[in-house]
Amino acid sequence: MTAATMTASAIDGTVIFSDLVGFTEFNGARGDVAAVEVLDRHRALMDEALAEARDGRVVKELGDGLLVWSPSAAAGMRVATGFLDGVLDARSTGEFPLAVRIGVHHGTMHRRGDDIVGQTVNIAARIVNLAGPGEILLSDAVLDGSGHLGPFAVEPIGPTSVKGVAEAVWLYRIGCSG
Amino acid sequence: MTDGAALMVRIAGDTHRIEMRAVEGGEFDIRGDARARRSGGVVTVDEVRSRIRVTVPVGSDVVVGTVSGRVALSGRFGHVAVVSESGRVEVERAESVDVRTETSRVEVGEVAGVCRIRSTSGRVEVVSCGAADVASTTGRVELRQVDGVVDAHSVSGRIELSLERPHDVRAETLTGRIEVSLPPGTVAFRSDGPTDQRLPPPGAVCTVTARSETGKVVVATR
Repeated sequence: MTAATMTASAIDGTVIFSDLVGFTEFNGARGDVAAVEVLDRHRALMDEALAEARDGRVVKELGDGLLVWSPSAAAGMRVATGFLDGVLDARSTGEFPLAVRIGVHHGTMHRRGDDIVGQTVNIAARIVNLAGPGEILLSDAVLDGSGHLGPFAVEPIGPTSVKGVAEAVWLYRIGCSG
Repeated sequence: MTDGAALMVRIAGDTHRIEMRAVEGGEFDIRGDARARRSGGVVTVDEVRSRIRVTVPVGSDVVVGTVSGRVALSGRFGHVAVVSESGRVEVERAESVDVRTETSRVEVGEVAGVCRIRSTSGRVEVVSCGAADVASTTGRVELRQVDGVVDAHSVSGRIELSLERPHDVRAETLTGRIEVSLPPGTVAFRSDGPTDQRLPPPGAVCTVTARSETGKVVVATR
């Protein structure tokens, strides 16, 4: 690949990881049919949040998770908070059995077909692993670029280190347990 | 720096052990190979290249990020936030705590306010705290003396919690066991979850929602 094509594939954006907490154990306890229903509902709730935000797309499904791209931090946070709202609503009525955790990071990444790759994606994956059920963890890069976060209170958490990334990434929390 | 005035100390570590001690009337001091910069009441420590020992005034807020270095805090702190991948985390006393780790064991002593802990596989032990918001995937969660609302979530780890006074509890696992110990004489409304339509019993002072798909659930007064 030439330098020119590498540059052409570089894009800015916000990466959102959503992870279903305890999906494997749920599958074991309730069976495959229930597991497929949960995955379908998880995807549908994300599609609803993307439609509401009118920006972004599901890049791919990752077993019990979703990788989502949005063109800006503000749009990404609209998607993430709208999605969490939808999940919490569905949980409160008993319609959705599992909690989700969400990690969000903003930066430059590279397109590879329909996929996205790069350290921005890796950092977002690291962030979601530190989130709890019903929680959005976001990086300082997202917070700097997102502005209005609606009714959600943002709490600082602390720095996390990611292999291959020199600077620590500072994390913030938006959450409502569940 | 004013002697004994609480600080905000932010540490970005890596693989080295971080020891902090909160001392009455103490000043900020650091031993070990690291860079420390101060701006007003905020001290930032980074480029940590060895085990460090940090002394701060009592009540200081602390934010630590590390990959695998053990983090040990002794004395009384303000708000403590720790993000670690695999190093053990110990906090003796704090106003509030937020610890996030993947595989570390987390041991917390006395927390006056909210104790929030996230762990993937490490065991979580808290001696006493106000409200508790704790989630672990496979690690065991033990909250010994809680005096606030409890939200405890696990996938396959066991949850054990004991309340000092009646408060609402929500404890949820998929395959782990749940044990909730309430103060003597507590009348609690046992809710099965969000769609529960039953009415609380007369005299109920708190709601306990404890659910496990396959694990045993025990809710009892002492």
